[in-house]
Amino acid sequence: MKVILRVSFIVVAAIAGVNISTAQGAADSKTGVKPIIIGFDSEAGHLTSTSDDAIRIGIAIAIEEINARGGVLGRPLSIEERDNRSVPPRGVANARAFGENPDVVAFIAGKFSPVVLEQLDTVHKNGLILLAAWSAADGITRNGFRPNNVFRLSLYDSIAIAALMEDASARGYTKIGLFAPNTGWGRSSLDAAREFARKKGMSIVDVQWHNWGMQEKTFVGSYEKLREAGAQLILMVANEGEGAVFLKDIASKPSDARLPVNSHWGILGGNFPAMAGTSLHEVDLRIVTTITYRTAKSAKARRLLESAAVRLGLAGPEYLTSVVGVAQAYDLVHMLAIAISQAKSIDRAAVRTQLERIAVYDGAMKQFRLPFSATQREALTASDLQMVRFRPDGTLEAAPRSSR
Amino acid sequence: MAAHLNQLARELSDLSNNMLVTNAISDSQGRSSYLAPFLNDINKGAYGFHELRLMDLTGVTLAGTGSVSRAPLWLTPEVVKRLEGGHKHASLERETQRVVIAVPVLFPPSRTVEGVLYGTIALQPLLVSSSQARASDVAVSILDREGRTVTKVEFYPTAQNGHNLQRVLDMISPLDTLGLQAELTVDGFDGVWLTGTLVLVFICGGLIFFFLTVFVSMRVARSISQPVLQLSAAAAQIASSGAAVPDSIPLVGYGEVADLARSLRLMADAVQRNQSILEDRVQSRTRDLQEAKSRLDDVMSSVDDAIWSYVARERQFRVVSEAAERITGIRVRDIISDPIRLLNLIEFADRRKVRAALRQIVRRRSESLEIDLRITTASGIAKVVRTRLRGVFSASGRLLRVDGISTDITVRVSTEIRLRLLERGVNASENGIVITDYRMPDNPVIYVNPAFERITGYGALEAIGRNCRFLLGNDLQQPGVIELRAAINAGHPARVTVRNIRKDGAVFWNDLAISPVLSTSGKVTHYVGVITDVTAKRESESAQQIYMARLESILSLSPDGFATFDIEDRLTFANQAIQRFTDISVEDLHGLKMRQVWGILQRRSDGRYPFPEIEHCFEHEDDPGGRAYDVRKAVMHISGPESPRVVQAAIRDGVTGLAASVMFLRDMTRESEVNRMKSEFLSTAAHELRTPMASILGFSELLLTRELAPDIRKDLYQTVYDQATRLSNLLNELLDLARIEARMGRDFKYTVSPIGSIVRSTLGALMIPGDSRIVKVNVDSEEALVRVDGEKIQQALTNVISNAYKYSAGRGDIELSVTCTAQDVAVTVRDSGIGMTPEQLSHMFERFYRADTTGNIPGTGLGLSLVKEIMEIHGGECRIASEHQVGTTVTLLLPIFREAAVSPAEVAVVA
Repeated sequence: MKVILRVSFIVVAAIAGVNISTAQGAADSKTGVKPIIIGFDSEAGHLTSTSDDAIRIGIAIAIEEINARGGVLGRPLSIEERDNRSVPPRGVANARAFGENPDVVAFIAGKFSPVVLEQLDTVHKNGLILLAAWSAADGITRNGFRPNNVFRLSLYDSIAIAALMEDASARGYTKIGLFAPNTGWGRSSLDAAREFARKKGMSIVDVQWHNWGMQEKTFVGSYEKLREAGAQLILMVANEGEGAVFLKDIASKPSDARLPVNSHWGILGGNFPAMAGTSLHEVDLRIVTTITYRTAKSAKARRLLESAAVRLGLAGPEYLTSVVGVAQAYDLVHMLAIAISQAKSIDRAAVRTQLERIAVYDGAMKQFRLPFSATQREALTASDLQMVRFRPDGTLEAAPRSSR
Repeated sequence: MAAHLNQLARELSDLSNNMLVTNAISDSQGRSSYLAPFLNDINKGAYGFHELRLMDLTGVTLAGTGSVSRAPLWLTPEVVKRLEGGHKHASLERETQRVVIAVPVLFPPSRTVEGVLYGTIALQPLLVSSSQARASDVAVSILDREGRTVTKVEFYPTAQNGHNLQRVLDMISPLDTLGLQAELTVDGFDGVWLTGTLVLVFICGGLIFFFLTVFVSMRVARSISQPVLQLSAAAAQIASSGAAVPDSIPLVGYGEVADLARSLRLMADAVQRNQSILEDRVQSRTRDLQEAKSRLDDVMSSVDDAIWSYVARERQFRVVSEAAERITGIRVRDIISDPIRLLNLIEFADRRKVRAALRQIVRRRSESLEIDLRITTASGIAKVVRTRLRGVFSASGRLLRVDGISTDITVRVSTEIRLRLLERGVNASENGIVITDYRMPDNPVIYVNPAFERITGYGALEAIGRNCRFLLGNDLQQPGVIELRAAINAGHPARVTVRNIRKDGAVFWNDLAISPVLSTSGKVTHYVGVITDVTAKRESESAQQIYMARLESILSLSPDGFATFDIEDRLTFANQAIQRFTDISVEDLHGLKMRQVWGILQRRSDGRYPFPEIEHCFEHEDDPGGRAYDVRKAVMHISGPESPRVVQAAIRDGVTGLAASVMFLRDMTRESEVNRMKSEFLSTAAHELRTPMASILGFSELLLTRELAPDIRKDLYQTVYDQATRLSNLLNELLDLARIEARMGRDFKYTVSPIGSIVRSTLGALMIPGDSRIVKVNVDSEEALVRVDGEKIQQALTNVISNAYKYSAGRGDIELSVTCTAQDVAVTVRDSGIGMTPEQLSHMFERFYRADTTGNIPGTGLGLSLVKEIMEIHGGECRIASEHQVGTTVTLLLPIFREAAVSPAEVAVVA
C-alpha cells in the first residue's frame, strides 16, 4: 500500500512541482475565489514513513468537511504540500516558501522533530503559524520565541517518556536501559528519563545510542550491553526502521533473555508490524500513544478513522498504521478554521491570537476546552496518553494496566 | 603527489558513507559535539586536508575543521545539481593554491543526496614534501589545464633558465577533471657558476656588516637599557611565576621608559583580572571538552568498525574502540596490554601480509593501504576483517604511529562467494532470467542471463535499462499482461503465459514467473523473472485442445455412455449420456473408482436378470493397428422408467495417454426388442402358414394313396381348397402389410373424395356369404372431403366390417355411422358380438393375434394390423372400444381435407 502511495505521490509531486492542491482548491480557482492555503511539510521522500499519508488524509477530510459547509470567510480551504524527505535544510527551505505565499496562513509539520526544530527561526521570522501534528521534541513549543508561533496537538517527549517510565514503574521495573537515537530527540528523551528516574527512585543503568538513517543491520551489541548493565526493561526511542531491527535482535535471543520493551511512538509512523515480522509477538512490547481505533473515545473519531481507512483501501480502520496522524491533523485543521473565522481575516498574527482564544471545540481526539492560551501551546496533556500493544493481526489494542 | 591526491579523494569518498556523517545531517542540535571532533581527529590522524567539512546543499556548513565560513564560491547551482545527481566535484582555488574535492553524502532514509563532504588541500606544502627527496637543482611547478602556473617550488634560484619537462598528472575522478600538469625545470651549468660566485660575495659582505652593527648597537644599548632590563626582569618573573603582580614592577627610568613602566604595571593589573576570568572559562571549557569526549566515546562504541592507533615506539595500542572486542572476542584492555594476542588471532598465512604492510609503511612506499585478514576469534569463530592502515610520521620522517580502521566483512565476503556461485548457476540456466529494479522509474531491466539473450534474441546491452514491455510489441492488453501488471503493482509474485516478440520479429510464447525481492524493511526492491519459451508446447497443447474439444463434442452428442479412468482407476471423464445409465450426474461420478461405477450399475440392475461380475467378462481383442487389448464385455439389464433397458457394457484396458481404461455403455433395448419381435413374428408366421399347409399336405397325400368313396373324396378336395384359400389370403395380407410398411405410403394414389361416396362404394362391394344381415348406415356428413387412397381406405373399412360380421354372427345388427368434427371425419362400425376382454383388447393390433381361440371364426390375425398401418399412413387413427359379450366399436378417424382449390376432376374420380 505504502509503496503504491509513495510511488504515485512521487510521480504526482514530480509533475506538479511538489505543489499539490485538493480538487476543491482547483475547482474554486476556476470561479475566481482564491482559496486559503494550509501548508503541509511532509516527509514523503522518506522511504518507510507512513505518517505523512495519515496526516495528509486527516487534513484532506477536515478540509472537505469545512469546504462542504461553505469554507471559511467565504473562501475554500486548500492544501499545499512540500516534501522535506526528513532532512532539516529542506524543511527550512519549505518553511521559507510557505512564508513567502500570503495565502498560506499556517502549515502543518510532519513527524520528524529535527526538521521542525530547524524551522523555528524561519517560522518566527516571517510570522507563519506552525501546527505540530506529530513531532514530539519538547523544544518545538518551548522554543524561547516571543510571541510563540507554534501550536502542538500531539504527545511530546517529556510526557511520553514519563508515561513510559510510569508504566514501567507500575509493573515493578526500576532499572531501565535506554536505547535512543544520536540526535536531539534521543538526548531530550534521556534528559526526561533521568528526571523521572531521579524523582521516582528508579535508575537509568545504561544508554545505547544508535545513528539516524537505517543503516545498521543489527543492534545485538547494544542490547547485550543494556542487559549486562542490569536493565530490567528497555526504554526504546526509535523510528520504525531502527525499532524493527532492535526488536528482531531481542526476539533472536532465548525467551528468558528477552527484556520487555516500552517504546516511544516513533515506531507507529510506519508499517511496523510488516517490518518487525514475528518478533512483534515474541517480545513484550508496549507503546505510548494518544489514540487507536479500538481505544477511540468518541463516535466522531471512529467515523473519521473509518472514512480514512476506506480512502486508503484498507480492510478496516484498525489496520491504519499511523492513526494518530489522521486524528491530530484533522483536529488541528478544524481549530485553525475556527481561529480564522474568529479573526475574520487571514492575517497571521490575528489568527495566532484567535488560536489562543478557542473556547470549546468538540474534536475527534476529545472535547477541547481552551486548548491553547498565551502561555499554553500543548493541546494534549499526560492524561490523554495511553499504553497500547500489538495484537496478533498487527492491529493495536489497549495494553492491560500494570501487569508484569 | 598525484598518488597522494588520489588517496585523499578515495578517503573522502569512504568518509562520506560513515554513519556519523549521515547521522549529522539530521542531528542539527547535537552534531557539533561529535562531528567536528570526529573530523578533526580523522584529519589529524590519517588525512591531510587543509579544511574538512560537511555542509548541506545550500552551502551552510554543518560541521568541520577550520573556521566556519560562508558558502564556498565553487558551490554554484550547476555544481549542486551534479552533486545531487551523485557525482563528485573537484575545483582549483588559484589564489590560495588549493584543490577542493567535494563528494555527495547520501541520506539513507530518503536515498537522496542531502549533504556535501568536502576537503581542501594546499598544493604548495604537498609539492614541497613530495619534491624534496629528489630535487636539489630543479624547480617544480603545477600548471592548470591552460598551462598557467598554480604553484611553484624552486630549489635553485636560476632554475627558470633551465630545461623544462611537462607531464599531465594521472588522477582519479573527480580530480581528473582539473587536468593538472607538473612541470620540472632543470638548471643549466653556466648559470650555476656565475650565480654561485655572486651569492658567495654577497654572503661574505653581509656577514661583516652584520657583526659590526651588532657590536656598536650593544654598546649604545647597554647605557640606555638598564631600566628596561629591570622592567624586563620583572616581566620575566611575572611570566615565570604565571601570576601578574602589579606591585613587583618598579617605576624606573625617564621619559618613555617611565611611561613604559607605568603602562606595564597597568597591563599587569589588567592581565591579573583577565587571568581570573580566563581560569573560570578554561574550567568551563574543560568540562565541555570532557562531556564531548564522553559523547565521542559513546559514539565510537556504537560504530561497528574497530578504530585503533598503534604507537610504534611503545609497541602498544594507544586507542582501541569497543568494536574491536565485538570483532575479535578479546577485551579492549587485554588488546592494549598484550598486542601479541591480537596478532595470534590472524591466520598464519595472513601474518606475512601484516608484516609486508608494515614494512611498506615504514619505508614510506605507501602511507595508507588496505589488507583483508582471516582471523579466528577468541571464541573460535572464523572471520574476515578488512583493515585500513595509515602511517603517521614525524616532521623528520620517523614513523610515530599506525592508525587503522578494521571492519568485519565476513558476511560480505561469504555473500560475495555465494553471489558468484549463484551467478554461475544463473548463467548456466536453460531458462532466461531477468532482474528489474523496482525502485527506479519504470522498473527497468538491470540484468539478463545468456539464456535470456538466446530466447529473445536481444543482447544484454539492448535489454538493460528498458522496461520488459519491449518484448510485448504493441500487444499490451493481453490477459496475462494485465494479470502481471496487477501483481507487480501489488508487489506479489505471479506466473502467466504471454505472447512475446523476438528481436527478429518472430512470436514466441513465454511462460513467465516473476517474484519480488524484498528489502529488510519489507519493501519490494527488485523483481526476478524466469522466462521459458513454451511456443512448441503451447502449439501442441493448442492442437490437442482442438482435438479434445472435437472429441468432447462428439462424445457429448453420442447416445452411448463413455467414461475414462486414470492409472489409479479413478474416473477422469464421462459424457452426459452416462447419466442415463447411472442416474448420477457427471460431476458426482468424477473421481469414483471403476468398481464403484460398476456397483452403481449393479444397484440399478433389474433383479430378474443375472448381473455380470466385472472380473468374469474378459475377452481379447485386436485394434485396427494390430495391437492386442484386454476387453471386458457384458450385457446387463438396467431398470428403466417403464421397462428394463438392455445395456451392453465394454471396458477396454491398457489405453495410453490421459486414460488408462475406457468404459463404454450402449443402450441395446430397441435392438433387443426388434430382434425379439422379429423372432416372435417369424415363429408366429411360420406357425400360421404351417397349419393350413399341414392340412393340404395331409389330405392330398390321402387322396393320392387311398381309394376313397367319391363323396369323401369331394369333401377332402373341399378341405384342401379351403386351406389353400386360407394360405393364399394369409400370404396376400402378409404381402400387403409388408409392402405398406416398406413403402410407407409412397405408392398410395391420393385423391380428394367425399367420405360418403367411399363408404357407399365399400358397402356396395361387400359380400358376406351365408349372412343375411345388412349394415345400418347413418351418414351425417356425406360431403365431408378427405384426401385418401380410395382403394386402401375401402380395404381397411372392409376389414373392419367383415370382422363385425364374423364376431357377431347371429347376435344383432351392425351399424355404421359417419360423423364429422372440426378436424376429423369418424367412420364408426359397431356390432353386438362377443366383444373382448381388456386383456384381449390390449393385444388387438399385434400381428397374428386372434381373440378367438376356438378356431371357429376364420381369419389371419393380420386384418387389424393392416387397418392400423393404413390409417396411420393417412394421418388418421384406428380406435377400438369393446366389452366382453356386449360388442365392439371400431372408429376410423381421417383428417378433413380443407384445401379450397380442389379441382372438380379430382373430386369426380371416386364419385
